[in-house]
Amino acid sequence: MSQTLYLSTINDKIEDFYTLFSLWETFKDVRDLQIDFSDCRFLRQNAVAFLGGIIYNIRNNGGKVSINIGSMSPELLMNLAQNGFLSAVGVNSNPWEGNSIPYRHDTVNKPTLITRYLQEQWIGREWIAVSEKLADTITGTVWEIYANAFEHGKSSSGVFSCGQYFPKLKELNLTVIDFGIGIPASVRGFLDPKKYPEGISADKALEMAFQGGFTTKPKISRGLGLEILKRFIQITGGRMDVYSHEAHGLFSNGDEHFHLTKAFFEGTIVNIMLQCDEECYYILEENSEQPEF
Amino acid sequence: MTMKINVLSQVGENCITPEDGELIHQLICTGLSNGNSVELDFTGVRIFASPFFNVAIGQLFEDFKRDMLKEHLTFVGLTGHGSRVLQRVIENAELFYSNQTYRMALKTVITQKSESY
Repeated sequence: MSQTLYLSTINDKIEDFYTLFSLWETFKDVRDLQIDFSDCRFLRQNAVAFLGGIIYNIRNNGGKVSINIGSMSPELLMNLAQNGFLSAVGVNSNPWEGNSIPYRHDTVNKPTLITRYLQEQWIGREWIAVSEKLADTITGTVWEIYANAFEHGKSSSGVFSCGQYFPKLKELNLTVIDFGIGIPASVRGFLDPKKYPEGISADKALEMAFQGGFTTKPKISRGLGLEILKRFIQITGGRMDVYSHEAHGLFSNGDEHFHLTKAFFEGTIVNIMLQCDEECYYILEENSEQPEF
Repeated sequence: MTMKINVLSQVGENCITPEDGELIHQLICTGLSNGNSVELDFTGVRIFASPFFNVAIGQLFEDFKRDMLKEHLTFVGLTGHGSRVLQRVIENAELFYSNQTYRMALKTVITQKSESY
């Protein structure tokens, strides 16, 4: 029997993420799903990427998902057509350039294509007026999110991402999601049981993952990607929200907070907001010093 | 004798993946093991990320001492971002490979986990 998911407007506040996690828990095992958008006026980039993940995972498990196009408002229809979401989920539609950054699903790691996406369709759209070298710096830093998702997420469905530019707010956003094992599970798997006989909570595990040098790959020194990303967000005045299991990490105003959440999501979501004021990025200007041992 | 490695011609404009890092790592090891100095030229490379440097440079600390690397391995043409990421990787790798206690603890955990399967 078919079930219907009545989607509401979803932004990227913490309650909106709880809504997304609840939708996943409720509908992930449904065999025949219809999605109704009558009560939905807008979906932010995090909701678009997450919805794409829900649809893909249900279909990948042999289920059927129908999109009720007729229930969409003209504005929502335009938004989801523009960012390529509709065509990606099988609705006949042609995306075009606007303030949307295309929805993207990578089942396997494609570094060249993903960095080109970031260069040309996200930071390269010149919504932040930075030099080409600074744009490359931002691309390399944000790539760390994808690298971490593919390397540690262990997701069988790959990585889902979507971006959005908000001209009035002067914000450039990007969300990267994997439905894998989550950061706390990855961290706990390599803790010394003598040092942590009781284990650690999800928020503590998340905090450890963002400390430089913590690695879940013991043969080679690693574990710097999330720290590099965190520092970048902090010194450029951006904001980053990370959700994994029942933990939330918030990086904003140069500070960081980790706490337990009311809802559980097994995978990992990284949602970043960059300021579109180029002055925020002068601190990253080039220096000519080469590193030393 | 100095062996020069043109990174752009080896891996292209992106130095971001562990796979490309391994390729460069092998070239460096060959040069150093043959008694040469090595110069890594990154001119033209645009995008850098830590997974590349962890493998290309970080794991050199497993086989070579810092003083030896300081004397025989040099970098040119890195962007500011590439330089900052590599410097952080070097600091992290030196700590990681010098901390025998930490590494032994990790090995113990891995051994226990593998035996449980």
